Order: sequence, then C-alpha cells, then structure tokens
Amino acid sequence: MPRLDSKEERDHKIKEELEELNNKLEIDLSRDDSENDHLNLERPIRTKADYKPEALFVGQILGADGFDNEDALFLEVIFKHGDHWKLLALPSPIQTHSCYPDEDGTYVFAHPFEFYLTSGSIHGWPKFIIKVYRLDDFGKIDAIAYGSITLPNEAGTFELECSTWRPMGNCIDESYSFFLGGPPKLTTLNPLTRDLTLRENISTVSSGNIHIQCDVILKSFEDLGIKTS
Amino acid sequence: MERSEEDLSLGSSEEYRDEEKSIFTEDMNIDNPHEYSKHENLQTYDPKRQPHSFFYLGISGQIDSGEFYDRDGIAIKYDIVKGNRWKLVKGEETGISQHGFRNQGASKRIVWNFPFEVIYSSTNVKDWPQIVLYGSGKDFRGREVIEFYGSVHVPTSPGRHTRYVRMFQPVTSSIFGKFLGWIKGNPASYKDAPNLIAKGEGREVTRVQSGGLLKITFQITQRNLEKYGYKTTSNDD
Repeated sequence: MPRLDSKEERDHKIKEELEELNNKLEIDLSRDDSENDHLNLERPIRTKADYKPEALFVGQILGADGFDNEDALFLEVIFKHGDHWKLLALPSPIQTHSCYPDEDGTYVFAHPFEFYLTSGSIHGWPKFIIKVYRLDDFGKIDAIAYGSITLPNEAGTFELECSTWRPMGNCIDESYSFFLGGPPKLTTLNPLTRDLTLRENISTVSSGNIHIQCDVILKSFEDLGIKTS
Repeated sequence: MERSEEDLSLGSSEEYRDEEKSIFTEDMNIDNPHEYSKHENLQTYDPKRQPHSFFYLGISGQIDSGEFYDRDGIAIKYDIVKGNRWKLVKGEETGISQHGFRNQGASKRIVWNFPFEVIYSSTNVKDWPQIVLYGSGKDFRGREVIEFYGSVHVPTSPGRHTRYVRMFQPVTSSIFGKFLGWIKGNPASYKDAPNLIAKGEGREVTRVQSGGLLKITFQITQRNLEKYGYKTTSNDD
C-alpha cells in the first residue's frame, strides 16, 4: 500500500503546482485600458490571442418609400442571430422616430445601429426583423407591414432594400382597413423567419420598401478557411 | 523620453505640438531595451502574448453640397462621435462651415466644399466613428438656429466613398408651439445632441419630417487592421 503523503508534503506539492500555474499565466495587466468601459461584461483574462471570428455590422436605417400613406410611420427593428453567435455589448432595441412623408412619399429615419458579435458557427447569420407602424393624426398606433432581411456576409459597404408585406383578410376586413385603418395583423412574428411553414396558410398584400445602409467588418473568418467573397 | 502608457494620443502631448516629428522615429529609444521592444512596428504576431495592437484610421474628405427644399443660407456643423477607446491622433473633431446660399438659377443646390481630416487610433473596432451633422440658418432677427439633423457612419472599407445623407427636422406637435418657436428663435430642437442623433435611443417619442439631402465624400486610409485579422473590404489585391 503506498505511503500517504504527510501534511507537509501535501503543502509542498500544492505550492509547486501553484507556482507552475503562475508561471504559465502571462497576464499583461498594463494593457488593461478599460477604465471607462462600463460595458465590461465578463471580460476573461486573455492568455493567448482569440481566434474566434468576430463580425461588426455598422450602419443606419436610412428610410422608407413606397408606402401609399400620408400618416407618420415608425419602425421597430429586431436583431436576430443564431444560437452560436454572441452579442458583445448590451442589446439595444431599435425603435425609430416617427417621420412624416415628403412629396415623393419618402420617409427619413436615419437611425444608426451597431452590432458587434462573436461567431461560433456560420449558421444563423444575423437578420433584421422589421415591423412598420403607422401613427395617425389622432395618435393611434397600428402595425401595417412586416419584413425581414439578412445582413451582408461580405466585408464592405452595402445598401440593402427590404420589401415588406402585410397579411390580407377577407372582403370585410379589407374594406374596414381601407376606411378606418386597422389592417389584419400577425399574432406572432414566427411566420417571418422562425417557422416558415406557417406561411402556407396566409395571403399577403405587398407594401413599401425599407432602405438600410450597412457596413461590415469581419475578423478571422478567413483564418479558419471560411470564404464569404 | 519614455512615453507613459496612458498618453496614447500622439497628437496632443507637448513634444509633438511644436515640431513635426515622424511617428516612426520619435520613440525608438534604443538605450532602454524595453522601450524598443514595445514599439509597434517591431511586434511579431505571437498568439501567446497580448501585443500592443493599435490600428490607425485616417478619415478625410469634404462636405460637398446639399439641397434643402426651399431653405437658403444654411451652415453645416459636424461632430465626430466615437467610442471612448478611440484616441484622436490628429485633426479637429468638430467644425462649422460658412453660410451658403443658392445660385440665382433654378438649381436648389447649396455648395459648401468644406474639408475635414481626422486620424484616430484604437485597439477595437467597437463604436465605429460617426459624423453627426447639423444644418443651421439665421432667423429673421439674425440668431443662429439649428434646424436640420443627420448622421452617417464613417465608411469601413478603405478608399473613396460618396455618401448622400438625408437630413431630418423635428416637428412640433402643435401649431401654437410652432408659432412660439418661430418668434423666440428656438424651434423644436434636440437637447442631448450629438448623442441623441448618434445613438438613436430616446428618439422614439419624437416626430420628424424630411429636411434635405447632403453629399459627403470620404477618403479612408487604414493601417494595421488587416494585420490583426480584420477584413474590411472584399476587393482582392
């Protein structure tokens, strides 16, 4: 039967192991320049450079056109990404201001956005899910169109156009919505991207376009052999 | 002279203000071997060590011209908004242009031709810089009043870019408020600009209408972004 270590020997072994670990960790604390970073969420101590691919989507929701409407519109934009993607900052919900159309029917939203993500998989590339609301003269708010668009996967600058639609009801619903407002709406946003089989049962009416400008920076995708352009 | 770790903005410390020294030679203090090894030009890409990974972004360009339906006599002010990790190396972050008037012909174009040039250095691409633009004019009593707002992100890929920025103007909800604003010289305006314009939060309760179109040309120069693995353009070399 092997002799059990005495207390001193155990202490000595523990000390040795701790020293080994300390020598392995090369923490360069002088590089910690995060004194003003209030978004310091669980920042791990780095022992080697991260090879995890990162993507930065920076841009603006420019505006909209093609809605035959004289009322003010505003958008709610939901940023959706796959399971293996992680947002490196607090998620900020996007709701634009309400804008009145000009003579051409263009609306200006000019709402800037910035999303910085780490990626663990190419599945689930980030998308925007857009809900268009109408604000009429009496202050009533109504959801009038839905759309979704995938953000670009190439590095560079892109102008995206997201087309929108709304569900169509029967004769009575359509005339009600024409005279009084209040078009048929979706009860959940699942038919948009999450569960596309639900779209088999609905008919839709086309609506206007939303213009988005998006700049993309990709990091370390090519190091791992992922080619996007 | 040893450069302390906190003094990262090359353009603002005293020794760089008087003489135009090159950034490649001034801090190669060979007598001190540690200073020498920290110089970023001599860093090798060693995954086990966190290097001094600064990259530089040079933004230059001009605010060319704009069209603002029927308004005339507009001056453009710009403000560059960026994260707190981005250090200004050289240049001015804000500027005010001259008041421009239209030509007497039918064209609604107002020309400023107002150049800007800024250089930033940072270690992370988060909080990419944006330019917030204000259009201001003089009211009937000669007071300067900001009427139009707009913003655009600095392009991420190097090279020349032209951006058309749509400006918007806030709308007061009542007619009486509008009249009062006209008399007092302060129509509806944003209180927390430029952050309100640049971040977009808090604007949900405001109402705006379209103000006009502004043309800006950018020229972007980058250094070291590709070295640290960032891919900013899909043009093949």
